[in-house]
Amino acid sequence: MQTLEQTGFELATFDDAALARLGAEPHRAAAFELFNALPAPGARDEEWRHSPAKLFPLGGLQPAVPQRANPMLPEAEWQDEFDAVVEVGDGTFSILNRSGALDVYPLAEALARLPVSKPQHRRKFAALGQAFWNAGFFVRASTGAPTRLLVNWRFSASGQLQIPRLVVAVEPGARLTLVERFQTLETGRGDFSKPWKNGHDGVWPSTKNDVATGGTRFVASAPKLAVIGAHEFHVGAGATLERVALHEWNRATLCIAEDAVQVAGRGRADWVTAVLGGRAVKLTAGCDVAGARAEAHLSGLYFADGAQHVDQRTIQRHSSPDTTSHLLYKGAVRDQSHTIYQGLIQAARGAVRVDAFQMNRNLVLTEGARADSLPGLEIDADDLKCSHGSATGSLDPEQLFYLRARGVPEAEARRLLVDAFFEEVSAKASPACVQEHLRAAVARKMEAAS
Amino acid sequence: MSGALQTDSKLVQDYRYGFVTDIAEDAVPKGLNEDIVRLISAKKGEPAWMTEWRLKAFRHWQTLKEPHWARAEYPPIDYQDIRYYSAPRQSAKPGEVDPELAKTFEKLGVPLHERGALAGIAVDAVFDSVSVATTQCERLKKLGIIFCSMSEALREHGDLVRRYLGSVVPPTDNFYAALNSAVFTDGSFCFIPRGVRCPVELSTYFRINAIRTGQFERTLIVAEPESYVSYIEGCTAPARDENQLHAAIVELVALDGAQIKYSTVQNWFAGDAGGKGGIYNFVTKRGHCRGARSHISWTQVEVGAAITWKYPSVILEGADSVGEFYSVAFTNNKMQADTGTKMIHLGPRTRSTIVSKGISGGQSANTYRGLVKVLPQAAGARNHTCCDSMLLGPHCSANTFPVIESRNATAVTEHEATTSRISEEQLFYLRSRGLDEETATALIVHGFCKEVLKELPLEFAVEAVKLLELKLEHSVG
Repeated sequence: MQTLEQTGFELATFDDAALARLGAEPHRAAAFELFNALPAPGARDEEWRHSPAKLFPLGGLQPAVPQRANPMLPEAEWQDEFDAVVEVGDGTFSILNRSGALDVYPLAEALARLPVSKPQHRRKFAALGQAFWNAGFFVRASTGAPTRLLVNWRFSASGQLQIPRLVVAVEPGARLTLVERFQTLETGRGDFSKPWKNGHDGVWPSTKNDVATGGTRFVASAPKLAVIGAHEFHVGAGATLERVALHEWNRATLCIAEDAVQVAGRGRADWVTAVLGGRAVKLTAGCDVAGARAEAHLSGLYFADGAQHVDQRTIQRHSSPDTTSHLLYKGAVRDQSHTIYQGLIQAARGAVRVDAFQMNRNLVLTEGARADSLPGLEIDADDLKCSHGSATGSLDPEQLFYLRARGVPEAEARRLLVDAFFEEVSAKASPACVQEHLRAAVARKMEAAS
Repeated sequence: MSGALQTDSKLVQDYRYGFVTDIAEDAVPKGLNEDIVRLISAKKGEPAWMTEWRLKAFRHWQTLKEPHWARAEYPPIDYQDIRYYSAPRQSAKPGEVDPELAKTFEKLGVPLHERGALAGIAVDAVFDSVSVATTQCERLKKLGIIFCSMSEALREHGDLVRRYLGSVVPPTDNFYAALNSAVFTDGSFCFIPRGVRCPVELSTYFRINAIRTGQFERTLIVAEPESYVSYIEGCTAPARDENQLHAAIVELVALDGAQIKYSTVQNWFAGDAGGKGGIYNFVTKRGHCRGARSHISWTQVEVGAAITWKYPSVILEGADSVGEFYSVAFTNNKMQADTGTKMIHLGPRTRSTIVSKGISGGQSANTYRGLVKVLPQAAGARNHTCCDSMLLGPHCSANTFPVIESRNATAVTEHEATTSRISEEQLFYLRSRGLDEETATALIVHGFCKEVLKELPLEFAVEAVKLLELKLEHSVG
C-alpha cells in the first residue's frame, strides 16, 4: 500500500519558471497558488483509487508553448453545419465566426478586457489547467438566434503536454450548441479507429494483475501526448447550452480533464460526453444547478477496447432548491480494457424540492474486460427525491437467441444489440451529423470485436 | 468502584436499558501492552498457542494506523485509557448465576434459567468481558451441537477453535480486527455438525456494564455440511456521558449446503440528544460460504450506538452459494452510522441480495457503503442491491456510496437506490383517518422497513418493531 502512495503524479515541471514562460494574466498566479496548496491526488483518494498515477506518466513531457493565431485554417469536417469553428493545433489556432450572436476570443485577449472570476473549483488538475493553460478561448453567446459552435482540438503526439482551456458564457436567454472534438493528429499506429489486436498497441500495463493474461503487462512505449484540461461553463438565467465532447484521442494519448458547468435559474445544460479513444482517460464532469428551475442533463457514452483505461466521474450538485439533474451514462468494455464510472449527487442543506436521478449501465462484452460502477448519493436536505441505479451485465442471451432464430448471424445480432444499447445516448447528441458519427464509431468498435 | 456513576436520568429518557448493575468487578488496569494481553489470556486459562496468537496480533496492531475513511467525526480515542478486561465477581456457587446478574438479564428480557426453553431459544449471556451463563447446552449436546462461551470453547474444544479462528477475519485484517484479536475476552462459539438442523434459535446477549471498559468479543459459528442454524445477537449498555468502545469480530463458516442465518438487533446506548456519551461500535463481521450451495444471511436492525462502523460481508467461494444482507439502520439526534456490506463473488453461479433501509432523523448522518465484487472466475454471478433512505427532518443527512466491480462478462449486477423525505401524501392520508402524526410516522416507517423486518425470527421481529417505534417517538416534529 505504501508503494502506491509513493508513486505520485509527476507534476514537477509545473513550477514558477514554467508559469513565468506563460502570459502574465493575473488569474494564473491565483490558480497557481491554489494548485500548490492542493495535495496531489493519491491512491488513498477514493476518486483516484482506480486510476493510479502510474497510468498517467506525465514525466518527460514538456508543456507546450502558448498558441498563436494562424489564418491558414485547415478544412474541418462538418464545417458547414456550424456558425463558428475554432481550429486548434500545435501552437496555432484560427477562428472562423459567421454568427452575430457569438463572440469568440483568445482567452488572453478576453482576460484583458473582461472581468474573470477567481478559480472556484478546489481540484488539483482544474487549478493546474487554470494556471498553465496554453490554448485558451473565451466564448460568449448573446441573446438572439440559436448558434452552433465547433471547437476542434487537434494536437500532435510529439511528446508535449497540452493544456486547453475553454471559458463559455451563455448569456441570459441565449442558446448555444457546442461540439468539442478532441483528437490526436497522427494516424496509423495507435489510431483509435483501427481494430485493436494483441500486441498492436496493447502496451499499457493493466492496473491489477490480470487473470486473463496471467500477469501484468508492461509499457513498451511512452505516451506521446498528454492533455490536461479544465473547461468552465456558465449558463445564464433561462439560457440553454448543449454541449457534446468527443474524445477521440489515439492510443498514445493521456487525458485528464475536469470540466464544470454552473446553471442559473430556469437555465438548462445538456451534455453528452463520448469517450472512444485515448490510452488512459480520467474525466470529471461537474454540474451545479444553482438557481430555481435550473436543469442539467448529463449523458455519457463510452466504449473501451484493447488496453484502454477510462475513468469518469460526474458530480450533480444541487446548491439551490427546486432544481433538476438527470444523468445517464452507458458504457461497454471488451478485451483487456477497464472502465470506471463514479457518480455523485449532492444536495446542499436547504436544497429542497430537488429531483435528481443517476443511471449507469455497463456491458461487459468479453472475458478479461472490467467495468466498475460507483454511484453515490450525498444528501443533506429532506424534501427531495434522489435516486440512482446501476446495472452491469453482458448482452441478453434471450435477445440474441431471438435475433438468431430469425436468421441474423451472431456477430450481426451482437452489433445490433450494442447499437440499440447506445442509441439512447447517441440520440441526445446534436446536431445530427454528430449523432451519425457516434453510431459509426460504435460500429467500428464492434467490427473489431467480431 | 462499581456503580460509582449512576445513570443520569436526564441524560436520556427513552433508553430503558440505560441502568447500571451494582456488582463487584474483577478488572485489569487501564492501558494496553504485551503484559495486559498475557494477563487476559492467563485469566481465561487459555492454551499457550492462543497467548502467542494474541501477542502476534497485538504486535501487528502496533504497526497499524487508525482508519478514518468512514463518514464519522469523533475525538481521538486514547487506547491507553481503556480497561481491556472487566468481569463481575460472582458470589454464587460454580454452575449458578449470581442473583444480581440474573436480575440484570431478567430486566433486559433475557431469560437465563431453563424456563427460557419455552421461548425456543438458547442464550449465551456476556456481561462486560465474560460469559456468565449459557442455557440449554445439555439439550444441544445430545444433537452434537456445541454452543458455549468462547473461553470455554478454547479450553474444551481447542483444536476445533484453532482450525477456524481467524480463518475468515485474520488478525491482520484491519485496525480493529487486530485490536480485537489481541484482547478479545469472550463471545460465543457454535458448531453445528453435519446434517443437523439446530432446533432452537441460538442467541448471545452482550451487556456492557463497567465504566471506562471496552468490550471486545468474538463470535465464531461453524456450520458443517448440510446443517442449519439461526443465530440472534442483542446488545445494550448503560447510559453514560462518556464514550465506550466496542470492537467485535464475528466469523461465520458455512460448508457444503450449510445455512447460517445471523440476526442482530443492535441497541447500544446512542448518547443523549446533544450527542454526549454513547458507544462506538466498530465491528468486523464476515461470513465465508466455503462450500458449494452454502447460504449465509445477515439481518441487522441498527438503532443504537453513537457511531456505527460495520459491514457484515459474505465471501461467496463455493459454487452456487448465496449471500444475503438485510439491514435497517435508524439514526437520530447526533448519531452517525456508516454501515453496509461487501459481497465478494468468487465461485460460479454465486448469488447475492442486498436490501438496505436507512432512516435518519435529528442531526444524524446515515451512510450506506457497499461493495459488490465479481471476480473473473465467478461465471454467471448475480447481484441485486436495493438501498433506500428516508429523511425525517431538514438537518439530517443520508449518503449512499456503493462500489460495483464486475470482472466477468456473464455476471449481472443491479443496483438501485432512492433517497426521499417521508411521504407527505401518506402522512396526510393516515392523519385524515384520525391517526396522530407519531403513530402515522411509525406506520410508514414500519412499512418502509418491512422487507427487512420480515427476515427476522418471529419474537425478535416483534421486539425490533417495538424498538423502532420507541426510537421514533421523539423524532417527529
